[in-house]
Amino acid sequence: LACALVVTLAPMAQVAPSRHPQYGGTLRVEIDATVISLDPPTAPLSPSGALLQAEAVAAKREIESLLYEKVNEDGTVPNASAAGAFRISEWQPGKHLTLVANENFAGGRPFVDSVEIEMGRAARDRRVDLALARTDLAEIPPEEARQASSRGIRMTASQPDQLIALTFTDGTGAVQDVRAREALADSIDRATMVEFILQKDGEAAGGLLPQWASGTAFLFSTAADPVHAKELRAQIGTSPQIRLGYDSGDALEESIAERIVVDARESGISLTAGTIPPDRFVGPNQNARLIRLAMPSAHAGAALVSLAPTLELVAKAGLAVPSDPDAEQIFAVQQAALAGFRLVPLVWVPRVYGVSERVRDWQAPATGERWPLADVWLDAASGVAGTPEPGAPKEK
Amino acid sequence: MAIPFLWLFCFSARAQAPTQIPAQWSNAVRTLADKIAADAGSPSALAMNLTDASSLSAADASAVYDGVLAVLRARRFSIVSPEPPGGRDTRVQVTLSENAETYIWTAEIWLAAGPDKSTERQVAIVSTPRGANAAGNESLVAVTLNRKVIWTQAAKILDFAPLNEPQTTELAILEGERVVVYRADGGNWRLDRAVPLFHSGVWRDMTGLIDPNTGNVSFFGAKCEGDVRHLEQLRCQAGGNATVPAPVITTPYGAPRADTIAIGPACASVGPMLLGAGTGDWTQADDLRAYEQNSQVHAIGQLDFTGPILVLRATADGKSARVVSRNLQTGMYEASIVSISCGN
Repeated sequence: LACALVVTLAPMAQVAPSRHPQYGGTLRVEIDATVISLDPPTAPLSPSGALLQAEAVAAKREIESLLYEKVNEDGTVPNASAAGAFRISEWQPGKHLTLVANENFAGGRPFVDSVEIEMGRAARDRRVDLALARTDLAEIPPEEARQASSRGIRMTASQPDQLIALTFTDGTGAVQDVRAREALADSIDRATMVEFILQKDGEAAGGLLPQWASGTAFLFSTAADPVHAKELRAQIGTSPQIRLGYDSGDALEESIAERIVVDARESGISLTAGTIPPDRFVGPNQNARLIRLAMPSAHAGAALVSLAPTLELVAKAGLAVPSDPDAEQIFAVQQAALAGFRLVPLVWVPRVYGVSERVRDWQAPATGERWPLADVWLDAASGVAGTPEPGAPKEK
Repeated sequence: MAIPFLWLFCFSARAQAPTQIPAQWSNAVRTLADKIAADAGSPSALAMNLTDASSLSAADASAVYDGVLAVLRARRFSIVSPEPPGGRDTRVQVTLSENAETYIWTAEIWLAAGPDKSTERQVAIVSTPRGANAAGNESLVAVTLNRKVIWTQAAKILDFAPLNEPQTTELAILEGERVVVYRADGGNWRLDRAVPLFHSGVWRDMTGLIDPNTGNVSFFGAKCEGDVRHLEQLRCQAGGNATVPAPVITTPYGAPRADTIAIGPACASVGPMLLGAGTGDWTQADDLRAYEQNSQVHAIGQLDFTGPILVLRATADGKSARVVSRNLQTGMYEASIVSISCGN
């Protein structure tokens, strides 16, 4: 056998970073949410409360998963739960949290000595701090992912597992007629949302579970049907007056709402969009709003079971969700939830994280999993910052 | 939970006869055809169409579809594909899809109706577990690296060693807290015996080694006496100062690869070689590259992995490599033997 030929592949790199973990250092994390209390909840959140406080609840769960070895799905901590990978060193409610490594953690001491979490950091501040290497880990809005990446920020992203949907909050008046709700649903151009608003970092949503999790999302149409929308609009007679609310601090929701206004207008539907006052599920005179639903599990059946109370709240479809649904039942439940057009899926977006150059072994957590901060280590040999944004403050 | 894999399950051995349905899919194929028949009603002409949106090979997708058609024909349905212009047959759109765990096969059925074909869609869905991924063998002109996955499990594997070679009737797996020996049984591995390892703590970068020649176990934080061939006599005590022999060989070019091992001559015209893993961290896909020891500038063979290579060590005869890697798609740890062959 002749083996004399030498094929040219990639030349050997002269310098190779270590792939073996190192202990030590402080991991700096910035988040948007403000966590006011780390005490276990006294009572389960109502579905509407969970929707309103979704971001803060999610951030609290992440922190709890670092403090306790086990946390129940409802956020309570079992009495017998052992200490987690980290313990609290300093706590300023809603502002700052310092965690230090638990030397005796049953799963092994974390690689980093400590974690500093800054709360309430706006998206732009997080992006600038990542570019200037002032922080090591921060979530980035998916619509800004491409821009951040072009500025040299390392990015990791989850599967698209957050659904942005439109729900009608008032079953009376203009949106009482199912044809009005269906007309609006048909008028929405999801492809444009994905292409231009999300910069392709997302997927059009027709069902309540993404294709990667369910395998059947393609059975729900995501295509706009302006012709049918106009037909329905003509059948109704007078144009329905739809007033759509969106979270005042959510730039992505604002962009999507503005797009829906344009699409609705082209189908002859009168729709206005405005912000929702803080801590309100819907603003005065508003009869629809945008919501975000995070998939609680990567397993389609488990996710649907967990989401059932929230789906019932917004879809009002009298859903009967089996405890362990098979693929056909999962499809049927989604069909039932969407049949009345009270809930209109729009887009799936991923959770996107920016990480500094020195962070190793960080992986965007899979759907339903928590930040793997105990596994993360810091490479002392790295620490190159990305390109600062124009107008970014200079480092002191 | 451990999943036994056939010894010598080879990544390249996936080709099948185009019309042969793997046994594990037969039920799903029959069930889907049954559902289509039930929704279509009395035997008639079906205008069938297939879309493959899954990771199935073209041959497998075709076999599944042919299987569905065969069942429907056996039930006296006639198949029309494609539907002729102006046709009014019942239309069936079969889509082969998948999610993270299962293949999802769907059939959308529009019953024969009036000229506008405006009938309500009915949907039939079946699912069947996905098999092992088949990717992973890349051959080059100079040398070919062949990977044989012999074991996969959820728990972290620190090292492994086939025992009693060349027959390889047993397989030893070193985990963080125990050594397990599996025995070959009709193509599967059956748990034969296991002993716990006592050590002073759990470390995230824990390392361990099974010497493939002696069977001796070295384990960070524990001192072990005995070998895996006589597991009942293996004794490990916490607090020992045993160190794991470093498997890394630094080449004259200054650590071009993170881990490198020397492999004995595998070909007449290629001398001793080095095998090296990549330099990414443990969240990244990796590759294994072969270099001639006397000319280490360019790789002469490469094998891609779907996750990081965690352990790279030589086999007992020094001509192959024992590789522990993590499959980032499944999260499972995989123990493989990588051998080298020459020519294409």
